[in-house]
This record gives sequence, C-alpha cells and structure tokens, in this order.
Amino acid sequence: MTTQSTTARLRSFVEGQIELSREILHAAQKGSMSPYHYVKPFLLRAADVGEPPLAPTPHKVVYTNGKMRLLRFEPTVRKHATPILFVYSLINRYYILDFLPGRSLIEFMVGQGFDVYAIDWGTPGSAERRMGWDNVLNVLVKNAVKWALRLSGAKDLTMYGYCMGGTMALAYAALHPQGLRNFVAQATPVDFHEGGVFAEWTKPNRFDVDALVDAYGNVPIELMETGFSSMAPVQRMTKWLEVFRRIDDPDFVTTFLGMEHWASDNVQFPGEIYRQYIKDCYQYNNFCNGRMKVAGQTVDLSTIKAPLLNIIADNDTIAPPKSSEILNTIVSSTDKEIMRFPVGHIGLSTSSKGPKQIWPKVAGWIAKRSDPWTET
Amino acid sequence: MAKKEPKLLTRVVKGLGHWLGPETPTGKAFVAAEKGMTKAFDRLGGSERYLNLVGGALSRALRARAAYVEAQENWLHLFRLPTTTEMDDLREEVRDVRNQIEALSYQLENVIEALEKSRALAQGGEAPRPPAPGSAATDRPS
Repeated sequence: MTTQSTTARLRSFVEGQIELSREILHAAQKGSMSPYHYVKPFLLRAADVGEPPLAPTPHKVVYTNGKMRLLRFEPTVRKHATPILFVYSLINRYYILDFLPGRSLIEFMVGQGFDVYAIDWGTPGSAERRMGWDNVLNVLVKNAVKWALRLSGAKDLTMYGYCMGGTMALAYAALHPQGLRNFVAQATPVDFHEGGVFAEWTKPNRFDVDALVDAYGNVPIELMETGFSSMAPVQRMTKWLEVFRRIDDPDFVTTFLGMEHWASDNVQFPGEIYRQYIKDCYQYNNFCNGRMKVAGQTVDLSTIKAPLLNIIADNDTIAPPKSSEILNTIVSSTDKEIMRFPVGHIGLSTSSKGPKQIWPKVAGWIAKRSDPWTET
Repeated sequence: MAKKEPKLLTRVVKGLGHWLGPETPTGKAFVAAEKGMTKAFDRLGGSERYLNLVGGALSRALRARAAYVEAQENWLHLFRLPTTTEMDDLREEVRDVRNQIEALSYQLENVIEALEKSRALAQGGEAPRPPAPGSAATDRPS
C-alpha cells in the first residue's frame, strides 16, 4: 500500500467524520427530538444508500392559497374522466400518499389512468393561526374541488380523504355535495369517543385546549411529536435495532429511512382549527352526532348520498376500526362498502401489500364508478 | 464478482443490532426489559390518576404562559407597539380580502364566458367551447 493511498484514505476518513459531526450538530442545533436526525447520517453511510427518493411522482402546482398548494399528477394515458382528489390530514405532510417509487398510492392511481390531484397543506405559520373550519372547508377545499374539476374537464370527482383529511372531506361532502361523484374514506375516524388513547388523553377535564391555543397560537411541533411518541415510547427507540440488523439490505434501509423521514417531518398545527378539531371531534364528538357547525351550517353526515368506500386498517391505533365502522351506518348512500386490510394506519399507504393487495381493489372500486375518458 | 468487504461502520452497526437481538443472551435480556417497560408505559398511559395529574400540570403551565403572553402584549400597548394579536388580526383581514378577490374574479370569468356564449349564439354561430383543461385560460394558480 503506497503512502499516497494511505494519505488519501486517511483524508477521506477525516472528511467523513467532519461531515458526520456537522450533520449531527445541525440536528442538535435545530433541537430535533426525533432520533431519526441523529441516527440517519450513520445509517446512510453504513448501508451505502442515498437519501430516500420520497414523493417520486411528477406533478404540477395548479393552485395556491397561502401555504396550501393543489398538486396535479397527470397520467400519461388517461382512462377515466372522473378525477381523484386526495385530501390529506393537517398532521405531517401529504407525501405519505406518494411515498417511494413502487410504493406510492398516487403513483399507482396515476398508472391506472386517473387524473389525480392532492392538497398539500404546506408548512403552516403565523398566517394560518386563525384559520378555522370555515376557511379550510368553505374556501380551501372548495377551491381545490373547483380547480380540479375545471382543469380535468370533469363535472364531478372522487374525493379521497385520509385520516383527519377524511374527517375534513366528510364534513365538506356533507356541506357541499355538488361535484362529488364518489367518496373514499381511508382510516378515517368518525366516532371519536372510540378514538383510542387520543380520546383518553384529550378529555375535557384533563386537556385544556383553549389554554394551549391561547398560549402558543399554532400547536408547536414539539408537542405534536411528544403526543405521537407517547403512544409507543419504548418502540420509538428499539425499532432502530431492526434496521441495524438489516443494514446490508439497502431496500429495507431506504424504506425504513423514508418512513422515519416522513414521521419526523412534523409541522405546526394551525391553532384555531386545532381548537375546533379537538372540541368538535375528540372532546364532544359533535362531528359524529350531527352537532358540528361550520359558519352556522350544521355538518350532517346523513346527507351524504354519494357511493362510499370505507377503508379500514385492522391494526390501526390512531383511527381504531371501531371509530371508522360507524360511518356506513350514518350516511344515506345506498352504494356503500367497507374494505378491511391487515395493516396499520400508515400501512394502507406504504405497506408492501399496497400495490399487490390493497390498491388494486380500491382502484377497481373507483374505476367502476367513474366515467370513461374519451378523447375530444 | 468478489463480494465487497463490508465497511467498519457497517460491521459495527450490524454487530450492535445482533448483540441486542433475540438470538443472544444480552439480546434476550434486552427484549425482556423492552417488554417490561412497554407494559409499564401502557399501564401508565391508561392510568386515570396519572393522566389527570399530567393534564392538570400541563393546563396550569399553559395558562401561566397564556397569562405571560397577555402581560407582554399589555406592556407593548403601553408603548403603542403592535402586538402579535394585532398582527394576527391583520393577517386574517388580508386573507379575507384575498379570498373575496379570488371569488370575485371567478364570478367575473363566469360572466365573461356566459357573455361570449350568448354573443356567439346571437350571431348564429356555435357556442364557443369552454377552455380545454391545461390551457393558458384555465391553467393558472391563484
């Protein structure tokens, strides 16, 4: 071994250590609570993989309002005239629906010939502090529907809500049924008194949501992270051992890091809508019982008549099956179905079972109730 | 092709995972400890007493902070300086105005389209086709 190659190796090692230290220091300076930011630099180097290629499906931004963006994912070969509009939650980022190449629900639907749209709520800041149900549903979601229909040239669309996005989309569908052809509710909590640990933790006698919003405005990222970590505090740390054991499996490492990237990509929760969400849903269950009001109008889920697909994850601890099942007994739709899959809350969008077992069934249901596309 | 020799870091990481894995004695002890801690946290997370205690402490801390923020704003008022609440009020007004302008412009577009349609029909021609999806007329963000 020559002196030159030893020197080169030594230099490369020192540079690598400096870069590693810089990344960890940066994470510490940002005050990151998630172990992801501290462990990732080691894993990328140990597994010799790059950053996970999240949100791989090409898209255009076709409408913006404040931080909200409406994204269009156009198919190469369009087969269905009825577009799909994904409404994601205000918690974490939308790209869990466009996870990784080959494991993206949006990519799958685009591949099936649907014109797909998705609402990206962005990173809420001070300007979103006072945003309530009225602004979100009667302005932002309404405009998203309007632009999706206009751009796709369709008269109605399939609304696809996920988690809290499903709750918001159901409220929208109850208030504005025009332009909705079908409704898909994925892991959507409806009966919040069956909402698992979150229902326990947010009871009115022990969680003063008014004090939180008055104190901070938007709900801080740290509080959101703490809430989710508290569900499984031990596993938050020990799950990393599995990726240590499989460090020589680059696909596993990439998928794991992709999931952890998304889980740690928290955003502030706009204050006013958080107040309304906790009170109307978790604390008083107004949403389920037809007592929730938006700009003076009652949200009555029994007015929903569109065909409904209710997708439930059997192992869901965030939207437990019992909290979602009730939806089919409340709506007035005659064409309604429940599909159950043996995965968790996030697994419906990211599991390896997705492209093989889950999404073909869902796409088939939607396709059967969509107009065929004819070139004009 | 000869298999590449794994890096030192790869071996250390894999070794750590294996050492704490279910196959080794240390790993078995670790897994047992993990199960025990999980059980303890699950019991704690469902304990009414604990939740009421933490909830009460959190509420008191939040109310104290809300009172601090209010005191800050009162102090700023003394010096006639804008407060966060006033900035939020302003942002809300700006958002309302922006939404109203957007709604008005959409209504105006509908009126113009309707006028063009009726003019074309009055001239005995075909009604103009609505702008195609993705065309410049429709494909613009707000």
